Amino acid sequence: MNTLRASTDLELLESFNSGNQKAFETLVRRHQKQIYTAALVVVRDRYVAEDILQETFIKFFKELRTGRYEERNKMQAYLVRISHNLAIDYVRKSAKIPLITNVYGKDIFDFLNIDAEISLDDFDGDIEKERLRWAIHKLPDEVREMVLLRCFAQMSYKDISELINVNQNSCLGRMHKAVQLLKKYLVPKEKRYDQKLYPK
Amino acid sequence: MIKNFTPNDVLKNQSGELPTEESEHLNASISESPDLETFVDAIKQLEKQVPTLLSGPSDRPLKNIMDYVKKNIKDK
Repeated sequence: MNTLRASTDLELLESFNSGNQKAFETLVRRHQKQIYTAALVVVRDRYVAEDILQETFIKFFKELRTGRYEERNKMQAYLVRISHNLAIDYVRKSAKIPLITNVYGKDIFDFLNIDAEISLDDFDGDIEKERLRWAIHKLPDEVREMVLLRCFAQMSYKDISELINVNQNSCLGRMHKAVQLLKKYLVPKEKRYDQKLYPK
Repeated sequence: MIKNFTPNDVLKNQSGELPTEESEHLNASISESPDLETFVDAIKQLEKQVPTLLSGPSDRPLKNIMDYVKKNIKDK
């Protein structure tokens, strides 16, 4: 398995084509997070995103078996694009914007698992993770999408740009905005007011 | 020529999308610009923290995919 992990995508494909099913499993493990995230940012439901991840690899498998897969050097970008398109199709087919579920399948806010009514002051100062979760929830949709695709799925700006069909400078601009907004949202309570303007 | 680096250059540098030569210049000049330095720190923090906020997919899709693959390879 360690040898497989060290193999390139192309080597894994060749190994799979020679009958090694573990090679396909390694490909799934290697790319599933990016493919899942590309669907998740669109459908906002972890269960639907998992179904799309599954569908993407089954589609890929069928293409391999029929010899229709040609983009051999861009496997991840290719799979992410399939996943994202399947997610867009799913949303289009849905009668309404899908409700968002948490890990228990309950509709509260979204995969970030935050109550929309909560405020920064409800968190204890030392729960940095919860504060960041809350702040990311507050970001505009297109900015949050950028943060997740870049920081969680670890995609390059070039790949994100191709995926969401937005030019690269706009992608970079959204990430810059994310940093600015998160800084603003995460200013500690005691520093939120200009002391010169509002002395105690 | 001295290039003035922008936050966009910093972002591309972090994602490995800045050409090597520019990347080296940028890394050398970050400490001279407090604004860029703060921005780099913020991006690094974000890239470190965000992955801890979300879980990836469960084992279910992987299992289903591999069950499908095994079945369809046998059936062929």
